[in-house]
Amino acid sequence: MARPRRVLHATVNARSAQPLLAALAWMGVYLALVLAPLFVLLVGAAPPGLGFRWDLSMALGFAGLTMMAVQFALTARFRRATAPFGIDIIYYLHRYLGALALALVLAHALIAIAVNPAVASGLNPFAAPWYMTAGVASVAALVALVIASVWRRTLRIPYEPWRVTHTLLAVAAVGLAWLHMHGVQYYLASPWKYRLWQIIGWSCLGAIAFVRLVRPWQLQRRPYRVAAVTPERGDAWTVAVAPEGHAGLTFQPGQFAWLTLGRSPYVMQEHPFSFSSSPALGHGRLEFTIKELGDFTRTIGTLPPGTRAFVDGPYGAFSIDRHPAPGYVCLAGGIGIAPMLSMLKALADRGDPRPVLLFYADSQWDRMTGREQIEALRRRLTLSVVYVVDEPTPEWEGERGWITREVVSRHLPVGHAAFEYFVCGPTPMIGAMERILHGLGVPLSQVHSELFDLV
Amino acid sequence: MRIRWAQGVAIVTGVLIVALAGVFAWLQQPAWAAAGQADEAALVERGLVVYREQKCQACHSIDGVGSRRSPLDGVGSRLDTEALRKWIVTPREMNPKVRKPAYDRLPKGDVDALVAYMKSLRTPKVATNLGSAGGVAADGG
Repeated sequence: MARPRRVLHATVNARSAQPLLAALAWMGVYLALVLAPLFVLLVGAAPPGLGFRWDLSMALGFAGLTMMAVQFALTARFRRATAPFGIDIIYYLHRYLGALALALVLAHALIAIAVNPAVASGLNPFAAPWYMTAGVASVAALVALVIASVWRRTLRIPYEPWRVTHTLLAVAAVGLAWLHMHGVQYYLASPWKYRLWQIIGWSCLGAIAFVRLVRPWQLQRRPYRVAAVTPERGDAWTVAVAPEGHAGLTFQPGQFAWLTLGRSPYVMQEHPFSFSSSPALGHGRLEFTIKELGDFTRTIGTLPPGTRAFVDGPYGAFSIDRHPAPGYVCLAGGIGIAPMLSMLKALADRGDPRPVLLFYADSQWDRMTGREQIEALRRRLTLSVVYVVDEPTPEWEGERGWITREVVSRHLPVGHAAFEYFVCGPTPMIGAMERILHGLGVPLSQVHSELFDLV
Repeated sequence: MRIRWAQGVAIVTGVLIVALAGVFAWLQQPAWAAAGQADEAALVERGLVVYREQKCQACHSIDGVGSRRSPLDGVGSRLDTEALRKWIVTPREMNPKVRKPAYDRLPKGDVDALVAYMKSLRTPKVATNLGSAGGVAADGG
């Protein structure tokens, strides 16, 4: 009996080590992209040091600029680069590293002023050389960009205008920082070093051109049409799209895509939604179950069949296909049921006999999106479902309130230690489920989630 | 967990970037440290020290070292001592439109040393072809 357990532990450890190794490898790539141009400045003729603090200030300025440049690549949705972790992590890293780039740039300026107060004269645009004003304007653009991103909801900035402004501010921040560096010309005496930093600047424009022109052009060549819009419980809709003149795409159940509905792919109006259909639905048809939560999603119900659609995907690492296990436990809150439906339908289509336990929480029994689909799937799967209702009717006999530690422990099956766990719902719920499962002895390496609160 | 994971990666990345920026700055110091030990009794050498202390290389270059925006090669042949002093202390007296910090708070001894150092930058071959005094220190500090 001990032998299989050891094998299981070894398998789990190997599984948990893979993302860590992939993360370390990509962190190395990131550091190389950010810092290699800095250390290249020391190759060949370089100005002598001007004191540790001064040169640290210069290094932080250069590093801040390359960090800003790499930010463009982070959100360019390169599928291969994001595949090991899921693109949600990359968007969160983009957010944190953007703030870090701002910190470095501010430190660059403050240290330079502290070491040499004469630098402060560069803050006055009427007296300073143009390239100092460009540097100050770059920092201002970066500050505005970070404030608008971190406090977008507090400031009530709508998503679409924010996206356009975000791009413009990012281009302005990098462009002005590059002009500042070009004007100062410090460390850039060698033409080849200057050209290297020119390439870095052009790379940012290249990344923007790829995201805003090349990818939309690719999407335009593979259009879809809305085949049906079906009302669901809980102010939700299932939108079915079918490929037009091509075979469609393949995805893993649980993944998601950026969906553009009724607009050109060039207008930056795409939104991320989980697939709720099985990959085996056939004819390339895809389904997305979408809850009315904002200005865009409230218009879903009015979409006429035949509306032009574009699908940029698939993305995400949230899938049973990436985590083989003897069984699965899914915990869904509200519209977090959508990727679970995709995974359950895929298992059913494959005739998979492995046990699945689904915890599904929502405010009211009558608002539980996809309830009928789940009941139908019970007949095709080894599926147990625990509905948790926050506002139950008097006759409700199931679990009440939220998914708590007691609720989970009451229903976990024998052998659950070897299962893989999938959590999808509001961000606070994901954190709560992770704490509950960890408290029940489930290794966090076996708990998978995806963050949709990207901005 | 995924948020904490992203935060952890960002923090580690930030620490590594700052640490490696520190390594960059440290690698730059040995030559400068040696220069800093030069004999300060000689005014010209003291001027070199002041030049470096005031980060003049951020806007000027000598022998191609520093910012090429405003080269100082041969400036000692083109300007007299008083003009050099004014370009350092009150640059707008030399050119009202110039955008250059005024080093009017620099100790007189340091200004004297800096002027002496500038005066020592004599490269007749270049000096004959360089433009007006305004081109010496048109920008920055």
